[in-house]
Amino acid sequence: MFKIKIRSPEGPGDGHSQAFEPSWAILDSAIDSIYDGQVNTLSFELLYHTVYSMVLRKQGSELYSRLRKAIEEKLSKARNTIVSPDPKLLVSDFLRVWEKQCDCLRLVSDFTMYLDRVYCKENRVPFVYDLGLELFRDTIMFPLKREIHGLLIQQINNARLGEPHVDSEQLKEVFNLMETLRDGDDTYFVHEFEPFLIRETEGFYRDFAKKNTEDAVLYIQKIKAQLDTESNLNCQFLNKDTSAKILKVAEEIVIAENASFVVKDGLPQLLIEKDYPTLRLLFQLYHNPKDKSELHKQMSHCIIKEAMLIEEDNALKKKGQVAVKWTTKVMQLRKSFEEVFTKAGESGANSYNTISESFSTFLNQNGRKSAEYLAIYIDSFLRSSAIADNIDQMWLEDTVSMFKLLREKDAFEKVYKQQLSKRLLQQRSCLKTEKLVISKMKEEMGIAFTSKLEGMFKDILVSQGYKAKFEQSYSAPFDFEVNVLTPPCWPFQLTTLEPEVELPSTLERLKLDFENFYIRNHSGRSLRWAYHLGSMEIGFHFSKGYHEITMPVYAALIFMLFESHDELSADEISDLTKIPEHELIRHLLTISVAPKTRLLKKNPLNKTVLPTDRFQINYAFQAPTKKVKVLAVLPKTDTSVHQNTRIDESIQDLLKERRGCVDAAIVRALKSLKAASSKSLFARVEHDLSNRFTVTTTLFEESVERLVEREYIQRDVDDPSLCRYLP
Amino acid sequence: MSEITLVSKDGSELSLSREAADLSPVLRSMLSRPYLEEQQSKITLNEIKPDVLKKVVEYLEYCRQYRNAGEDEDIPEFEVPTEMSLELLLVADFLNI
Repeated sequence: MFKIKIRSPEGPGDGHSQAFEPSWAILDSAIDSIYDGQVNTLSFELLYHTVYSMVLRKQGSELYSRLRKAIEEKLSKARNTIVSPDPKLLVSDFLRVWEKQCDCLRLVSDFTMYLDRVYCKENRVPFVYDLGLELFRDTIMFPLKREIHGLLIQQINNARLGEPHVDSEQLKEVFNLMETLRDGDDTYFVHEFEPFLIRETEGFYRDFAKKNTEDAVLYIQKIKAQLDTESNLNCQFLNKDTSAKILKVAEEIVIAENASFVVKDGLPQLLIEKDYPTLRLLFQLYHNPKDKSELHKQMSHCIIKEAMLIEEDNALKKKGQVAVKWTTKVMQLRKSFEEVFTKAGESGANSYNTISESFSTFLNQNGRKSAEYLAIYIDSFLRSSAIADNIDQMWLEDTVSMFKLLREKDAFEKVYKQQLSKRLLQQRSCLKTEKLVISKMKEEMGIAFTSKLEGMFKDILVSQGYKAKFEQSYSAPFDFEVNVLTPPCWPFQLTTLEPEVELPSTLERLKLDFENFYIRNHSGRSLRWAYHLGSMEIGFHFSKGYHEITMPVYAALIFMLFESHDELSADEISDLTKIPEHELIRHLLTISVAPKTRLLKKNPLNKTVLPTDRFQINYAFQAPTKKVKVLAVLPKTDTSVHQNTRIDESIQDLLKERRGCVDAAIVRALKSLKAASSKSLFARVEHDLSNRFTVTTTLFEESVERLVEREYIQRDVDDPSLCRYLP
Repeated sequence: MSEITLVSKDGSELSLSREAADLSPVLRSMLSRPYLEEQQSKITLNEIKPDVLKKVVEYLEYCRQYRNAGEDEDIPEFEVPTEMSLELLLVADFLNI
């Protein structure tokens, strides 16, 4: 075993068992010298050593409190030198004192390093330097708080108003000082000055907003300029945290609290004037999400309002033209708003949504009309571009995106289908283009929506195949075209009631041959002829020239009678052709009364057809072109009534279809759920049908009643709001 | 780099590079504030024996030389005579090395 003997250490300074007072006297006078600026006469080693020995002699706490007292005294003395009456000098006095104090404190804290290291750490009291700062805060900062703060804010506000002589260096120094001083867990700056500054900023901007609320455009420019100044200023003398807070406060006040008038009054004006720079400014100012959503809301008000101003130009004769004009205008408006957003630097998905939603709201305020008009618009476009092979992609995108916004898509579908069928049968448009449009819709709506439309295409294609095949084994004496249509796909009310008519023998033979051919290929199918959908082209030499006349089948049948007759009465025509009476009258009017297509002479020439009226070929017929197209007229007498009933009919049809859809959706939903409350059932049905039309509660309730009556479903005995599926 | 002078108990002087002196916070403060020592570049350490002070200087220079050395460099051991260790410890405390 080793025995370790420890020699009592004879550390530096030991041996002189000095008393406290003499040592302190050395230090005290040293502090005086330091404050008098005579550091260079002092020996650091001596002071350091003195502190060292005192700490070793466990006189640390005594020393610490003496130091404290000494520093406090010095500070109070310094405090009394800051009395300048001139506010500017006051701040600089203050700063001067601060710098002096810092220097002296640093010197003192240097030679008390050993005290810091041993005594302060062990006893968890602030180091000497920090102690000094605390004392500074208590003896100088707090008593002068009100004056200093007041002076600072005055300077800042002056700077905000653009006064050039603001000493931002000085401000910065003061703020640094405040950030150096600690107060509680935070710096003095954060704890005391920042709240004050924010309060004052609020006041400043409230004032500012109040003074500038006369003109919206001016206000936007002013606040933009002011906020720019603000952020510039803040860069000069504030830290990032605080600048951000200040800017936020300022923005909140000038924008969120006071700028609603700007958006309400200014925005429409800006939009009308297309003042893009200011709009851009506006969007920049409204960069925080809450403000921005407010702005977008107002934008959409404007959009809707403007869209409502688009009038249907009823001066135009045809409904089609009205629709086309209206739709074009709506699309233009949309384009112009897109432009507004882009030019204002807001081309994100958000703005796109705003536009879409606004238009959607607008279109659906008058859903059926919008749907109808859009369909008519597309129709007119497709007809006019029948020859153009390359469809304008932009047009297609725009149109389909409008279509997407419609809520009553079933109404659209109805009109569209009607028109598509006409286009297809009359070969008025380019198949490729049609298909492109349909495929776009399919992308948007899913296959269910377009299946019938596609069925129509299929019929047309298959029919072309039939024709080719048929012609292989059969040579017809003239060109002909047969389209075999599948009734459910096509929007015609076919026609079990359509009576057979008497055809000229060549046609009759062709018809029978084709029927035979078709039935050979597809046994079990029945073929029915829809004469009212067809047309015929007849060449005829009138006295003034040769014309090829395209006309409806019925009209052609009438015309062809005159191959073997010179003159016929309406009655005789009816007997010979067996055309139903109203069709007969209509087509007689078409080819004998309508001014441009007077192929027959009618006697007497008036606008009614009586059975005894007599007809003969009008050899004097002339037309500017070789090809003439005969469009069936509507009997004049009941045009308006007829049109109204037609619209009514289509509305009735639509309602009927909707009822069917709702019925089906309810049954479908209940079949899987077995039982559901009315409310959840409604929600589900509404969701299921949302891409066709909006389900109303009445529609839904009626449907439920109907289904209960027909015993598809049953109301629960105890809870009548619960519906059950009846298997 | 300027040299500074350390004076020990018996008045003998040792010189030390400023860079090495800076490794002791106490010496650094003495030299960086406008005290007497800073003007003379001379520090009188009345309480430290010459041999101990010599060791301290050796140590500071040793530190200066090797403190930035990479891990794979060979750093020679710094040898401390056993009998001096206690005194060295006290001085180290004093100078906060």
